[in-house]
Amino acid sequence: MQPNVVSLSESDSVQDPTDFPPSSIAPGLRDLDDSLRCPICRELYTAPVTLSCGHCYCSLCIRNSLSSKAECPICRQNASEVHIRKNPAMESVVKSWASGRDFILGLLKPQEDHRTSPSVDSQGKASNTQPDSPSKKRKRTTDDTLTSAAGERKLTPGISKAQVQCPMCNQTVPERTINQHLDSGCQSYLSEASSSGTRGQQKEQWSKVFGNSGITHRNKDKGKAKEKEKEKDGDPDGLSDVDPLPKVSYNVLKDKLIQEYLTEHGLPTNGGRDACIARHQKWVMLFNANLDRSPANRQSLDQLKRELKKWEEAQQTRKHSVTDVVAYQKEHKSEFERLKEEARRRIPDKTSNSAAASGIIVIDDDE
Amino acid sequence: MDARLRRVNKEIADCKNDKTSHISIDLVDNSPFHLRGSFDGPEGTPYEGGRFEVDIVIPDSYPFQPVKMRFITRVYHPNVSSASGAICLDILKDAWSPVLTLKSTLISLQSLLCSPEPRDPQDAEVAKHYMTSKESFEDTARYWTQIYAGGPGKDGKSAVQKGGVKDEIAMAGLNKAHVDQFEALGFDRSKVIDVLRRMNYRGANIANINDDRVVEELLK
Ligand SMILES: [Zn+2]
Ligand SMILES: [Zn+2]
Ligand SMILES: [Zn+2]
Repeated sequence: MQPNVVSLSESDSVQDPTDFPPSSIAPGLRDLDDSLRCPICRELYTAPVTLSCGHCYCSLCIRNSLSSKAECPICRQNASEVHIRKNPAMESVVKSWASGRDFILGLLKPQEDHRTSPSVDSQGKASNTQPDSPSKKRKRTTDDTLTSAAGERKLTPGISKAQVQCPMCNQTVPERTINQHLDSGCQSYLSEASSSGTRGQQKEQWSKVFGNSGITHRNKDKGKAKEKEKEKDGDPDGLSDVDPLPKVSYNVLKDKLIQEYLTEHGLPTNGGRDACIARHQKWVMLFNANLDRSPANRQSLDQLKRELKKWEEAQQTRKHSVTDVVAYQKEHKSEFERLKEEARRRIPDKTSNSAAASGIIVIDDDE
Repeated sequence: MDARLRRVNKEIADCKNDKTSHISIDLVDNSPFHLRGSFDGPEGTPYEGGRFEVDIVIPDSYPFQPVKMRFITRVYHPNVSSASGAICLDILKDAWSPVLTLKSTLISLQSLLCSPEPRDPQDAEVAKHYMTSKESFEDTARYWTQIYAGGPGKDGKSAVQKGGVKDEIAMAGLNKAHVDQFEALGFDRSKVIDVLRRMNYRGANIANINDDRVVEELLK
């Protein structure tokens, strides 16, 4: 549910409020991090919105939720998409917090290792002078600090623009070449696509969508006079004054009209009625959730389409044959193993070596 | 990466970090979407002292659809199938909300053990037992906890020794004298237990059951 590039790379690692020490050590920080997270996806808010009850969610998360149940997930008050209101204040708080988070964690680390580790004895004296107690230290090495602070989580616009994470294979790719990278099929998907006829066609359909990077569909939309202006403004998709897409009652629509709806947005029309409906529904969700970001944070239509493609492929992988499921699980298993490994590094490690070896700075605290 | 995977991963980490709730979540077959949770039987209930394991399956559309949970440990409880471990709990069905988590759901199961809802049963026979005699029901639930969940049993003694025989009469929540009475008529013991259990031959309910009807059932 975190479709933008920045969020994707940000959430590469397992981030959660317990990265911060408890309030007895660092008052307020853990709670702050917690309250800036969507209660549905547990990530820092992306395009935060509020319902009439005041509860806040990522736009995409709550739209997903409302599509299966018309209530606020927290207080269960009736709710629907018409109740969704942007929350730009929250959005900018989250943006600032996201950019300062690692810095604050870095500042906290030496102190935290010192305070939480070597346990305090019954007299209240810190026992960290004893060399035999480093096993209780949080294994937060200075190496970790450097990696996370200087590594992929940077929010600097320059960097996030030049390097994007491929929505399909999650590898980092220069943004200029992302289309070619996608069209070439990111190795891991290449074999699957060629093994299945429908998948192959699907791929072709989608590559048409990206192949000309949207120019085709823009030309089709010649009627809209504002297009040209938008290109000048550096807003080629013209999203700054666009209305949300209306909800569609698909069951009264003929196939042809549904296809037209898709074509209108430059989306593929393959896969039969149900697939087209699902695609359009998801598109409306992605499109409208994107509008709930402040203009500066919005994704381009191409990014949204990649998100849609990614979603569709995930759906297919889940539905498809045994081999696909195995491939899917295999892929996610390794991802999962990596995350577990990362999580292991972040939580107190009982087997860690001495403070010196793990690069922890211990400051003596003579109270 | 999959938002569902990210969230599940956070949830697992959350349980690992929380040392106070004594709730654990482990992987089954290394798939992050098939898990095994466990929690302690709540204090002051017949489940106290037991450790209860739950099979957890994360559906594709999680967290927008409820997580699937089922007891692995056999539990004697009106809202849990004594045979399959299926659970009757609103939040696992219509009352699910995407802000609920694996941990909060397991805690709800824990509190379900504290407060049975016999009017909305999963296991009708167990529910009848509960409504007929709460005391007898609790003895049976405690016995099950001892046998299946490593509970201490009524007298505080540890579970049946290895190789020890389960007391089938206690398992069924019946009275030995009643079983003996019908066994003496020449019926197979396990058949007697089965019939008396199904007929809820317990406490005040016995007055409502004609012995001829029991014999009729036994002859079937
Ligand atoms: Zn969210
Ligand atoms: Zn609410
Ligand atoms: Zn790729």
